[in-house]
Amino acid sequence: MSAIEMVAVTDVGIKRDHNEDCVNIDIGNGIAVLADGMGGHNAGEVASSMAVEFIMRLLKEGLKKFPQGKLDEDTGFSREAILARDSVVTVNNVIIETAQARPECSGMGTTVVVAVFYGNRIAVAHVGDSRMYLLRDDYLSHVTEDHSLIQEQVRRGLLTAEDARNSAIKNLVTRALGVEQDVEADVVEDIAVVGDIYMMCSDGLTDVVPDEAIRLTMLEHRNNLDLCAKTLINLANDAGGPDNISVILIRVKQPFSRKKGFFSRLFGG
Amino acid sequence: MSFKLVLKFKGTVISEFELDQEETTIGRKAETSIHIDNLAVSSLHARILKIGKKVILEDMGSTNGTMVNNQNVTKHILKHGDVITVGKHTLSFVEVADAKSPVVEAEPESDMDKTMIISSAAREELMTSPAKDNQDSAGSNMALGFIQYLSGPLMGKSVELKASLTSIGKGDNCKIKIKGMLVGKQAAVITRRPSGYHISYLEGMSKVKVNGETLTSAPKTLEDSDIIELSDVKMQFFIKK
Repeated sequence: MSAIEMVAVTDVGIKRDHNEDCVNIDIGNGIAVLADGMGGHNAGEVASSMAVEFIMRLLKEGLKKFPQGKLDEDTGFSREAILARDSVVTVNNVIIETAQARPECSGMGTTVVVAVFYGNRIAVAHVGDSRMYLLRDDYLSHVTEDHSLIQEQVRRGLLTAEDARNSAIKNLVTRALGVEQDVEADVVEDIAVVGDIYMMCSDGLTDVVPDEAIRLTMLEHRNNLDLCAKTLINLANDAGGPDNISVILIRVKQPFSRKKGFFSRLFGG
Repeated sequence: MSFKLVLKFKGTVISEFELDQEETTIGRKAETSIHIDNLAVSSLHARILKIGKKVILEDMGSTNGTMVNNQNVTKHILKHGDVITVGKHTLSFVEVADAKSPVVEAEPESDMDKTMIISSAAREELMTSPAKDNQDSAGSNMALGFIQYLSGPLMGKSVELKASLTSIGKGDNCKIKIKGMLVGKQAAVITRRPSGYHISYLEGMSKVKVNGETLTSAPKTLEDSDIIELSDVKMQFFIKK
């Protein structure tokens, strides 16, 4: 039995004629990557698939080079988290170079969210407004914070979360791959608890489906990730499906390697 | 589209102000853009920010507060017809569709649904200047947090929260070690994120409390000087300024 269970689904939506989102998972290495491309003609697809493919490859190769869960003393982050961040930065340069070399790709860009699971931990790196959520018990929380104009205004206290959802400028991304040379990826590390369900998604879901609807759907279908992902995508399509929709769901199944305390064994906690 | 405020006192129009600046201040001090000489008005009472097409009213910690349509507000997005009350004066917010800049039709929905990237220059322009001191939060310079023990054998000692993860519990790998039969080996974890510090309860019979409230399974954002309790140990969270 694998320690984690993963499902990835992407859908073109209702209003678009092609899918610029890209997803990929590697259960054996505990990696999941999701990207939402943008740019004229087919350039958005090029950018997002490049991001996913290259990050996947960089992570697979990089993860072999060090033991699991080793801490980098200088930064206080794990080697896995640093690798995830560096892969994102490397791919940014690759996308910029490609855009310069191929005129039809000029101006392409992509968001990306990357997750690496190791031991009882998770490292997440992201750029843009593709998100990761966590469902723990009955609670849904945001693991990532969007790099969007609206989110910056919320952070500065100028707008409430409610205003943000109704805003006309919610799709203005302030950071993306392929735009500027020195892109900065946000990195989050956390303890993954057995039973946690992580959800990565593109803004095609979150722009039209409120968090509470996501939470209730995940609660209802928490035992069937396949059905859960499809239901989430159906919700976005029922709401008009204005954009491409991608969802990756990850369930943490394996217990912590460390031994449980007397009381938690006694009470099954 | 331009905006103006109509200042009234007991129903009588005193004057009108064009909101042509990014920031318009309201207060008793002579330096404020809208100067109201009345003791019920604080020296710097409130301000109005123009961000893109939005106009936002913000109370600046005034003594008597700021109301919009008779509701107390600290921040509020102004709509045409809103009435702001500052002390005994009122300011009516008016949107004027002028000839020079005709009202632009809302862009077709499909265009706005498309994700767009905004350049850093344009973004700075759009964000204007309301929180220059806060710009670090978007950058790499994440604020550094500390935990200080307020009780127990380590009282007064501080632990730097430099790592991405800091575990609390009785396990050997916990940086913040707390003894007790009911305390989990890894009772809780503090994560350091670009958006700030968050605390999550993980295991053990002894639950973690933040400011007296027991943590649920949802991570909680830590604010400067929050009190964290586990078992009989009390700690305080600080952000280094």
